[in-house]
Amino acid sequence: MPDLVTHVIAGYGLQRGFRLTPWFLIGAILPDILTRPFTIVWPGSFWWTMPLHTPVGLTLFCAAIAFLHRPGIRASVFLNLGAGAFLHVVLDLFQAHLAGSYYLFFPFSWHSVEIDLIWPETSLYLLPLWAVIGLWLAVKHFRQRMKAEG
Amino acid sequence: MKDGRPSVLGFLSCLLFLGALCFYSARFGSAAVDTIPEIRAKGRSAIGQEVALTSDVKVVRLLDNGFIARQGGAQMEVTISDEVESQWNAAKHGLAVGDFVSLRAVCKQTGLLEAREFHVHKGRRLKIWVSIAALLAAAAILFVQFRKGKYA
Ligand SMILES: [Zn+2]
Repeated sequence: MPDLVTHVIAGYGLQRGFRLTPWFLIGAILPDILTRPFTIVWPGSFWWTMPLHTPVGLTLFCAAIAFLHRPGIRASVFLNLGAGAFLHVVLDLFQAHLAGSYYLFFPFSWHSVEIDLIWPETSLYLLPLWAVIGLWLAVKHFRQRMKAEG
Repeated sequence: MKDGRPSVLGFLSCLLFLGALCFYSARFGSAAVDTIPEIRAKGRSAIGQEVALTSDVKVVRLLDNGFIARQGGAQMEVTISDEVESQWNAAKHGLAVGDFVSLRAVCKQTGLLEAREFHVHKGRRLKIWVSIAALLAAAAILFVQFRKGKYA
Protein backbone atom coordinates (compact mmCIF):
# COMPACT_ATOMS: atom_id res chain seq x y z
CA MET A 1 0.00 0.00 0.00
CA PRO A 2 1.09 3.59 -0.37
CA ASP A 3 1.11 5.18 3.07
CA LEU A 4 -2.37 5.74 4.53
CA VAL A 5 -1.93 9.52 4.19
CA THR A 6 -2.15 9.11 0.42
CA HIS A 7 -5.31 7.00 0.76
CA VAL A 8 -6.90 9.36 3.31
CA ILE A 9 -6.14 12.55 1.33
CA ALA A 10 -7.30 11.01 -1.97
CA GLY A 11 -10.44 9.63 -0.29
CA TYR A 12 -11.25 12.84 1.58
CA GLY A 13 -10.51 15.06 -1.43
CA LEU A 14 -12.80 13.07 -3.74
CA GLN A 15 -15.46 12.76 -1.04
CA ARG A 16 -15.58 16.55 -0.62
CA GLY A 17 -15.17 17.25 -4.34
CA PHE A 18 -18.01 15.00 -5.44
CA ARG A 19 -20.15 15.47 -2.29
CA LEU A 20 -19.96 11.75 -1.44
CA THR A 21 -20.86 10.31 1.95
CA PRO A 22 -18.42 9.43 4.80
CA TRP A 23 -18.69 5.81 3.66
CA PHE A 24 -16.50 6.71 0.68
CA LEU A 25 -13.65 7.77 3.00
CA ILE A 26 -14.10 4.57 5.03
CA GLY A 27 -13.92 2.58 1.78
CA ALA A 28 -10.71 4.37 0.78
CA ILE A 29 -8.88 2.95 3.81
CA LEU A 30 -10.95 -0.23 4.24
CA PRO A 31 -8.72 -2.79 2.43
CA ASP A 32 -5.69 -1.99 4.61
CA ILE A 33 -7.73 -1.78 7.83
CA LEU A 34 -9.08 -5.28 7.12
CA THR A 35 -5.71 -6.84 6.32
CA ARG A 36 -2.62 -4.96 7.55
CA PRO A 37 -3.11 -5.28 11.34
CA PHE A 38 -3.27 -9.06 10.92
CA THR A 39 -0.27 -9.41 8.60
CA ILE A 40 1.86 -7.09 10.79
CA VAL A 41 1.12 -9.04 13.97
CA TRP A 42 1.10 -12.45 12.28
CA PRO A 43 2.78 -12.47 8.82
CA GLY A 44 1.64 -16.09 8.35
CA SER A 45 -1.96 -14.87 8.10
CA PHE A 46 -1.38 -13.34 4.64
CA TRP A 47 -3.41 -15.89 2.67
CA TRP A 48 -6.25 -15.83 5.23
CA THR A 49 -6.78 -12.09 4.87
CA MET A 50 -5.69 -11.69 1.22
CA PRO A 51 -9.30 -11.97 -0.16
CA LEU A 52 -10.21 -8.85 1.84
CA HIS A 53 -7.89 -6.83 -0.41
CA THR A 54 -9.40 -8.11 -3.69
CA PRO A 55 -12.34 -6.74 -5.72
CA VAL A 56 -14.56 -9.81 -5.09
CA GLY A 57 -13.82 -9.95 -1.34
CA LEU A 58 -14.30 -6.20 -0.93
CA THR A 59 -17.59 -6.28 -2.84
CA LEU A 60 -18.87 -8.94 -0.45
CA PHE A 61 -17.65 -7.03 2.61
CA CYS A 62 -19.24 -3.77 1.38
CA ALA A 63 -22.49 -5.63 0.68
CA ALA A 64 -22.40 -7.12 4.20
CA ILE A 65 -22.06 -3.63 5.73
CA ALA A 66 -24.81 -2.27 3.44
CA PHE A 67 -27.19 -5.05 4.57
CA LEU A 68 -26.84 -3.73 8.14
CA HIS A 69 -28.65 -0.57 6.99
CA ARG A 70 -32.31 0.03 6.17
CA PRO A 71 -33.25 -0.46 2.49
CA GLY A 72 -33.65 3.28 1.88
CA ILE A 73 -29.93 4.00 2.29
CA ARG A 74 -28.54 0.52 1.57
CA ALA A 75 -27.60 1.23 -2.06
CA SER A 76 -25.94 4.51 -1.11
CA VAL A 77 -23.85 2.87 1.64
CA PHE A 78 -22.83 0.06 -0.72
CA LEU A 79 -21.92 2.35 -3.64
CA ASN A 80 -19.96 4.86 -1.56
CA LEU A 81 -18.08 2.21 0.42
CA GLY A 82 -17.42 0.18 -2.75
CA ALA A 83 -16.23 3.22 -4.75
CA GLY A 84 -13.83 4.17 -1.92
CA ALA A 85 -12.45 0.63 -1.81
CA PHE A 86 -12.09 0.69 -5.63
CA LEU A 87 -10.05 3.90 -5.36
CA HIS A 88 -7.81 2.22 -2.77
CA VAL A 89 -7.17 -0.79 -5.00
CA VAL A 90 -6.40 1.44 -8.01
CA LEU A 91 -3.88 3.54 -6.01
CA ASP A 92 -2.20 0.39 -4.66
CA LEU A 93 -1.73 -0.93 -8.20
CA PHE A 94 0.90 1.71 -9.00
CA GLN A 95 3.36 0.11 -6.60
CA ALA A 96 6.22 -2.29 -7.12
CA HIS A 97 6.98 -5.36 -5.02
CA LEU A 98 9.71 -7.98 -5.46
CA ALA A 99 7.13 -10.76 -5.06
CA GLY A 100 3.43 -11.18 -4.33
CA SER A 101 1.53 -8.08 -5.38
CA TYR A 102 -2.25 -7.79 -5.78
CA TYR A 103 -4.53 -10.72 -6.62
CA LEU A 104 -7.10 -8.76 -8.59
CA PHE A 105 -8.69 -11.80 -10.23
CA PHE A 106 -9.08 -13.89 -7.07
CA PRO A 107 -10.79 -16.38 -6.74
CA PHE A 108 -10.61 -17.05 -10.49
CA SER A 109 -6.83 -16.79 -10.82
CA TRP A 110 -3.73 -16.68 -8.60
CA HIS A 111 -2.05 -14.30 -11.03
CA SER A 112 -0.93 -11.16 -9.19
CA VAL A 113 -0.92 -7.76 -10.85
CA GLU A 114 0.65 -4.33 -10.39
CA ILE A 115 1.93 -1.45 -12.54
CA ASP A 116 5.42 -1.41 -10.90
CA LEU A 117 5.73 2.38 -10.97
CA ILE A 118 6.82 3.26 -7.41
CA TRP A 119 8.11 1.44 -4.33
CA PRO A 120 5.62 1.37 -1.44
CA GLU A 121 7.59 3.98 0.52
CA THR A 122 8.10 6.39 -2.43
CA SER A 123 4.72 8.02 -1.80
CA LEU A 124 6.27 9.51 1.37
CA TYR A 125 8.00 12.09 -0.86
CA LEU A 126 4.54 13.49 -1.54
CA LEU A 127 4.01 14.22 2.18
CA PRO A 128 4.79 17.98 1.90
CA LEU A 129 2.25 18.23 -0.93
CA TRP A 130 -0.39 16.40 1.14
CA ALA A 131 0.36 18.66 4.12
CA VAL A 132 -0.24 21.79 1.98
CA ILE A 133 -3.48 20.35 0.54
CA GLY A 134 -4.62 19.33 4.06
CA LEU A 135 -3.92 22.84 5.37
CA TRP A 136 -5.76 24.42 2.45
CA LEU A 137 -8.82 22.18 3.03
CA ALA A 138 -8.80 23.00 6.76
CA VAL A 139 -8.61 26.77 6.11
CA LYS A 140 -11.41 26.48 3.53
CA HIS A 141 -13.54 24.49 5.98
CA PHE A 142 -13.12 27.03 8.81
CA ARG A 143 -13.78 29.98 6.48
CA GLN A 144 -17.03 28.35 5.33
CA ARG A 145 -18.01 27.69 8.94
CA MET A 146 -17.29 31.25 9.99
CA LYS A 147 -19.30 32.53 7.02
CA ALA A 148 -22.23 30.27 7.94
CA GLU A 149 -22.10 31.37 11.58
CA GLY A 150 -21.52 35.07 10.91
CA MET B 1 -38.11 -9.74 6.76
CA LYS B 2 -39.98 -6.49 7.35
CA ASP B 3 -39.35 -3.54 5.04
CA GLY B 4 -37.18 -0.79 6.49
CA ARG B 5 -35.07 -3.09 8.64
CA PRO B 6 -31.44 -4.20 8.29
CA SER B 7 -31.17 -7.55 6.58
CA VAL B 8 -29.44 -9.92 8.97
CA LEU B 9 -29.83 -12.73 6.45
CA GLY B 10 -28.10 -10.68 3.73
CA PHE B 11 -25.32 -9.69 6.14
CA LEU B 12 -24.71 -13.27 7.28
CA SER B 13 -24.83 -14.65 3.70
CA CYS B 14 -22.12 -12.20 2.60
CA LEU B 15 -19.95 -13.01 5.63
CA LEU B 16 -20.38 -16.73 5.06
CA PHE B 17 -19.34 -16.42 1.43
CA LEU B 18 -16.40 -14.22 2.44
CA GLY B 19 -15.36 -16.76 5.09
CA ALA B 20 -15.42 -19.49 2.44
CA LEU B 21 -13.18 -17.36 0.17
CA CYS B 22 -10.71 -16.74 3.01
CA PHE B 23 -10.59 -20.45 3.74
CA TYR B 24 -10.07 -21.24 0.03
CA SER B 25 -7.26 -18.68 -0.14
CA ALA B 26 -5.55 -20.00 3.01
CA ARG B 27 -5.81 -23.58 1.73
CA PHE B 28 -4.80 -23.08 -1.92
CA GLY B 29 -3.16 -19.60 -2.05
CA SER B 30 -0.05 -19.64 -4.15
CA ALA B 31 2.41 -16.93 -5.17
CA ALA B 32 4.83 -16.99 -8.11
CA VAL B 33 7.66 -17.23 -5.56
CA ASP B 34 6.86 -18.78 -2.17
CA THR B 35 8.18 -17.75 1.23
CA ILE B 36 10.20 -20.28 3.25
CA PRO B 37 7.25 -21.05 5.62
CA GLU B 38 4.98 -21.58 2.59
CA ILE B 39 7.44 -24.05 1.03
CA ARG B 40 7.69 -25.93 4.34
CA ALA B 41 3.90 -25.92 4.70
CA LYS B 42 3.73 -27.70 1.32
CA GLY B 43 6.00 -30.39 2.77
CA ARG B 44 8.97 -29.46 0.54
CA SER B 45 12.51 -28.43 1.40
CA ALA B 46 13.46 -24.78 0.73
CA ILE B 47 17.08 -25.70 -0.05
CA GLY B 48 17.92 -24.97 -3.69
CA GLN B 49 14.61 -23.14 -4.20
CA GLU B 50 14.01 -19.49 -5.03
CA VAL B 51 12.29 -17.88 -2.06
CA ALA B 52 10.70 -14.49 -1.37
CA LEU B 53 11.24 -12.52 1.82
CA THR B 54 9.06 -9.47 1.49
CA SER B 55 7.42 -8.64 4.79
CA ASP B 56 9.21 -7.19 7.80
CA VAL B 57 12.73 -8.36 6.94
CA LYS B 58 15.15 -6.32 9.02
CA VAL B 59 18.94 -5.95 8.64
CA VAL B 60 20.57 -6.83 11.98
CA ARG B 61 24.27 -6.90 10.97
CA LEU B 62 26.27 -5.76 7.95
CA LEU B 63 28.87 -8.03 6.36
CA ASP B 64 31.47 -7.42 3.62
CA ASN B 65 29.43 -9.16 0.96
CA GLY B 66 25.94 -9.19 2.42
CA PHE B 67 24.14 -8.88 5.71
CA ILE B 68 22.39 -10.79 8.46
CA ALA B 69 18.61 -10.39 8.26
CA ARG B 70 15.86 -11.23 10.69
CA GLN B 71 12.26 -12.05 9.81
CA GLY B 72 9.95 -12.95 12.67
CA GLY B 73 12.07 -15.12 14.94
CA ALA B 74 14.32 -16.45 12.18
CA GLN B 75 17.77 -15.04 11.47
CA MET B 76 19.63 -15.69 8.21
CA GLU B 77 22.79 -14.69 6.39
CA VAL B 78 22.22 -13.09 2.99
CA THR B 79 25.09 -13.16 0.50
CA ILE B 80 25.11 -11.22 -2.77
CA SER B 81 25.09 -13.03 -6.12
CA ASP B 82 27.06 -11.77 -9.15
CA GLU B 83 23.78 -10.64 -10.75
CA VAL B 84 23.13 -8.02 -8.09
CA GLU B 85 26.71 -7.12 -7.17
CA SER B 86 26.64 -3.71 -8.84
CA GLN B 87 23.29 -2.93 -7.17
CA TRP B 88 24.77 -4.05 -3.84
CA ASN B 89 27.87 -1.87 -4.28
CA ALA B 90 25.64 1.14 -4.88
CA ALA B 91 23.30 0.35 -1.97
CA LYS B 92 25.66 -0.88 0.74
CA HIS B 93 26.94 2.57 1.79
CA GLY B 94 23.44 3.73 2.62
CA LEU B 95 22.41 0.44 4.20
CA ALA B 96 22.21 0.49 8.00
CA VAL B 97 21.34 -1.90 10.80
CA GLY B 98 17.58 -1.67 11.38
CA ASP B 99 16.71 -1.00 7.71
CA PHE B 100 13.89 -3.03 6.17
CA VAL B 101 14.61 -4.94 2.96
CA SER B 102 12.76 -7.16 0.45
CA LEU B 103 14.53 -10.09 -1.15
CA ARG B 104 14.22 -12.73 -3.81
CA ALA B 105 16.95 -15.25 -3.08
CA VAL B 106 18.06 -18.82 -3.52
CA CYS B 107 18.16 -20.79 -0.30
CA LYS B 108 21.66 -22.36 -0.25
CA GLN B 109 21.22 -24.06 3.11
CA THR B 110 19.18 -23.50 6.24
CA GLY B 111 19.90 -19.93 7.35
CA LEU B 112 21.95 -19.04 4.23
CA LEU B 113 20.44 -17.18 1.28
CA GLU B 114 21.97 -15.85 -1.94
CA ALA B 115 20.18 -12.67 -3.02
CA ARG B 116 19.05 -12.50 -6.66
CA GLU B 117 17.03 -9.31 -6.22
CA PHE B 118 16.78 -6.96 -3.29
CA HIS B 119 15.35 -3.60 -2.37
CA VAL B 120 16.05 -1.46 0.70
CA HIS B 121 12.87 0.12 2.06
CA LYS B 122 14.27 3.39 3.39
CA GLY B 123 11.56 5.30 5.23
CA ARG B 124 9.44 2.26 6.09
CA ARG B 125 9.39 3.17 9.78
CA LEU B 126 8.29 6.72 8.92
CA LYS B 127 5.61 5.25 6.68
CA ILE B 128 4.20 3.22 9.59
CA TRP B 129 4.04 6.27 11.92
CA VAL B 130 2.64 8.52 9.21
CA SER B 131 -0.02 5.90 8.43
CA ILE B 132 -1.05 5.71 12.10
CA ALA B 133 -1.35 9.53 12.18
CA ALA B 134 -3.45 9.44 8.99
CA LEU B 135 -5.70 6.79 10.48
CA LEU B 136 -6.33 8.96 13.56
CA ALA B 137 -7.05 11.97 11.31
CA ALA B 138 -9.50 9.89 9.25
CA ALA B 139 -11.21 8.70 12.46
CA ALA B 140 -11.58 12.33 13.62
CA ILE B 141 -12.98 13.46 10.22
CA LEU B 142 -15.46 10.55 10.19
CA PHE B 143 -16.53 11.23 13.77
CA VAL B 144 -17.34 14.85 12.90
CA GLN B 145 -19.12 13.90 9.66
CA PHE B 146 -21.28 11.19 11.22
CA ARG B 147 -22.12 13.47 14.16
CA LYS B 148 -23.34 16.07 11.68
CA GLY B 149 -25.67 13.40 10.33
CA LYS B 150 -24.01 13.03 6.92
CA TYR B 151 -24.88 9.39 6.98
CA ALA B 152 -25.77 8.19 3.52
ZN1 LIG C 1 -3.80 -1.46 0.34
